Amino acid sequence: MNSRLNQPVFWRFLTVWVGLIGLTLIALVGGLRQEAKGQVEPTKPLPKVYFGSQACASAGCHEKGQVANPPLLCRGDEYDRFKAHDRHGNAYKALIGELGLSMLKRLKLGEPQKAKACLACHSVNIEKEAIQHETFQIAEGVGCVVCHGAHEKWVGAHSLVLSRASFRVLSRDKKENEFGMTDLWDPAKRTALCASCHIGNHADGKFVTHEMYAAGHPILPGFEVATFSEQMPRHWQLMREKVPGVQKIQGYLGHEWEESQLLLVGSAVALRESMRLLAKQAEYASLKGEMLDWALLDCFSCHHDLQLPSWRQEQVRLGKPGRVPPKNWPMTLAEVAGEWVQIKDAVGPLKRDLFEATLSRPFGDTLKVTQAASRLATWADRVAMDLASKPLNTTTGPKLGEHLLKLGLSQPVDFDSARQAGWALTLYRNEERALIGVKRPQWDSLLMETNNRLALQLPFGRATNPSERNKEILAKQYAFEPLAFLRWMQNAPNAWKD
Amino acid sequence: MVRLIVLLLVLAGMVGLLIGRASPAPFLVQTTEIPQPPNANGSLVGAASCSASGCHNANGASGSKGSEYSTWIGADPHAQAFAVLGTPRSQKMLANYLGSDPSLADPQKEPLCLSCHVHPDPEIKKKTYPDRFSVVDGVGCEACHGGAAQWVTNHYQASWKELTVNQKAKLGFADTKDLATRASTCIRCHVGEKGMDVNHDLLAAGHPRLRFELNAYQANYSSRHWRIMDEKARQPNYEWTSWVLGQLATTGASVDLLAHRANQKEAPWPELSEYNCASCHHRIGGAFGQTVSAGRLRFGTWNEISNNPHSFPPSWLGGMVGGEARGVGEALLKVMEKEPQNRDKIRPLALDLSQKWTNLLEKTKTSQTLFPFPEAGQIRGWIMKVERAYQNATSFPSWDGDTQSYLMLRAYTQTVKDRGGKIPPEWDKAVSDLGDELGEAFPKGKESIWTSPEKYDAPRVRKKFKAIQGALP
Repeated sequence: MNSRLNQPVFWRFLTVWVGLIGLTLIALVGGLRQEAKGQVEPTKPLPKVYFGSQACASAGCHEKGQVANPPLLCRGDEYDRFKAHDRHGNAYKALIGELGLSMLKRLKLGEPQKAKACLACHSVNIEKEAIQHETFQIAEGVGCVVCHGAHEKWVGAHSLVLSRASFRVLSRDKKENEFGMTDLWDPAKRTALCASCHIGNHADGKFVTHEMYAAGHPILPGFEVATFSEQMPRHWQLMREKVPGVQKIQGYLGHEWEESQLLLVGSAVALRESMRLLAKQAEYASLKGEMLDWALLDCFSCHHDLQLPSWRQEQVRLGKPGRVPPKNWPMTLAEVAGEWVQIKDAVGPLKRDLFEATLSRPFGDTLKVTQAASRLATWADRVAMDLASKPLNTTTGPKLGEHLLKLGLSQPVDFDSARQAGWALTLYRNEERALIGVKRPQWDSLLMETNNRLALQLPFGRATNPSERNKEILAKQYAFEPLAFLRWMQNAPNAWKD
Repeated sequence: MVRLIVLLLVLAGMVGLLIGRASPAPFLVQTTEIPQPPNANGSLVGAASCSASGCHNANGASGSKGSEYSTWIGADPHAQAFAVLGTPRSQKMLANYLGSDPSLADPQKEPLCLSCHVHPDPEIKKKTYPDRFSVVDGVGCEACHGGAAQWVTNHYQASWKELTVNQKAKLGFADTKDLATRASTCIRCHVGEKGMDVNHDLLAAGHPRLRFELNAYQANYSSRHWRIMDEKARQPNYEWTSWVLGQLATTGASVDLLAHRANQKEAPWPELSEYNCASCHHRIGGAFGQTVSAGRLRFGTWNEISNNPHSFPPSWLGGMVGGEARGVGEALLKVMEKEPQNRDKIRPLALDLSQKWTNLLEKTKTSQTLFPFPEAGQIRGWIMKVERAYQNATSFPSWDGDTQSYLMLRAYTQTVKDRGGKIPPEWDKAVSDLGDELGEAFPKGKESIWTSPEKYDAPRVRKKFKAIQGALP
């Protein structure tokens, strides 16, 4: 009879609930009191509490079947989607797999659950003062709160019957600043957060070094936030997919081109984050008299077979041959995004400075790289802010396509940069089709072929063995020839118009 | 009157100058045993000076006596060395190297190119060509045999034979019959030196890499204008000796070049061509022989100066290599790999090692018996060391190192045969198998000099070494 009570799961749910209620009551008393007074104290860092994903699933909120009535803002099956497909949940497993363990051994990093350099991205590095909620499990990898905010205040407020209605209608800003719920709807914030792992972040201790690559870490592909969000696959609805009531609460006006907007802002933020990382690492190297960590440079400038004739001798190059340039991909989209908002300072000279600093001697002049990268980061930050202040709408959105055609058309680019172009053009086209239904049969088939050439599909699903897909991607990478791709892309304008 | 006297004095002076110029160069020089570098006076008379049909242009069989010029002009790639600079590929290469427009790059006028593609003499670079000398000849007779202005008219006379080697050298004549001298001549271009440096910038611009081994080069030099049987008649251990002397000269030249590179502030640093190509130029994810470079630059390339047991010339090549040079070499290896950027730390070590090698090579000039023909057991010991090194996590198996070992085995095997010794057929086969395996590392149909041995497979090569070990007499 009492079978339900005997299930450990039941007791876990109960504990979670009791815990959440307790925490929330404390939070609400404080939070809502402040609301009543109508004043906001200067933001203090909220205490961190790491919940496990079970806290979100088993609370009967984000797991299908446990939700009687879909809550307002979300669709209620986020955890199912996450669990079924999202590779973020495999992040820790990667450390204890064959490759992960052999890497730990080679890098002398010890036990996986203590390897900070790995955990920073593959799970969570719990800070000293942070609390581990009893649902927390390191093995869950990159779980919900890693992105949504590891704070009990919002976790409680958004879930409890007593408070959730009033919490829902709060602005995104308030939810973030007062309750600690990360505003992932803000393209710049989302990109910066994703980029902290997908590109790296010096302050957070997130950086895939060349030593890690040499020990076997797969190459971090170029990052494009809108495409990567889509291919997670996304466990949330786009604003345009939500019900009108939710759109209203979230301040959706109904004419935004939200994914293309994310693409544009994201590209500038990705450049900013890449350059900040590069500048920090170059500064560090310069102080220590070391070389720039090679992980910051273009992998395939060194890691290629030697052969003649080769397109490498045919291409126009900056500086001496045989020197290693920085990664080019972060500049590809950002440059086009900068032109879109007609930012006054051209990126050209800044980019040239960076290349010169990197190519002036083998592995770069670290001091000059620091300066050049910092300047590019400042430029990118300005572009991001400018783009954010002018969201794409029904007038500007349809015009962006033609502007994006510039991608990969002016000069031969490397594989990763070409992929940026491929992702951007595909993403834009999908949104264009969804919003205004323009027919472009030629263009669509060209995009399909581009997809094939550039392996635009990322490893998908938790069951996929990423190394197989990575092998396919690498094979395309090695077959890639910039000049041939440039010639191919020159078909683009005609295909677009037909 | 005063004017007349002045005029007479000037005239007398001019006559004196003319007589001075016309007087023959002193033929007999004072005997001195200090070795003189050939080409010291750099007076070139051009390959055409050797081309009289009665001299070296008999147009006989390739490599036969009296047909040296005919052989060279007809088939020797050295004769094409200048012409090749005129091709679009060369033009593109130089444009890449200089970062200039291809239409502005002229390799046929570029001192860096001319110093190897025509003549290493700096005078040539300054374009002060004597009348009969022409750059169009490419690498002509005098590039190796020495500027001939002072011996071209005498070297066929009976009195020439009475001169000592050093007396001839003083006149500019290089004793290329001597294998050590020959090696030191070839390496100037085939390894490089100051002003003749095929560094990583130039390689990346498209220049083929330099991969010189004296004995194999001579064996494969089908258009050579001399006969190996004559050499073997002079030198019973010809192949082995040329392998040993080639290794020593090559290593010495590499050390000198490294010291020069480290010492030149304006030269790029780190100089990547000092490192094994495969430490970077391998495919991500395994190919290029599953080489494990551990994410580091691995010091020591074809011209080995490291103590990598995979490729360093065996230490039994005289105790000298294992002695004073080895310690510095090991220290250098450490810094080169751990702190490639640290030029200040590398420079003194490289200069020290360079000095030690200079001394070493001096010694070999006076006593080639320092390197006796090895016993089979010594070869076996070396092969075991190479084979075992594969198990060592810190060693870096590479096509370069293994091919050097293979070439040693070839030189040894051939010399045993030349000496009338017996080679068991299984040993012969095992050595050829190793050669085939190394040859197959290249993509089919591609010239190896331009490409990387991307299919090099260390575990498979290791098996071949094991087989050789088993087949050793």
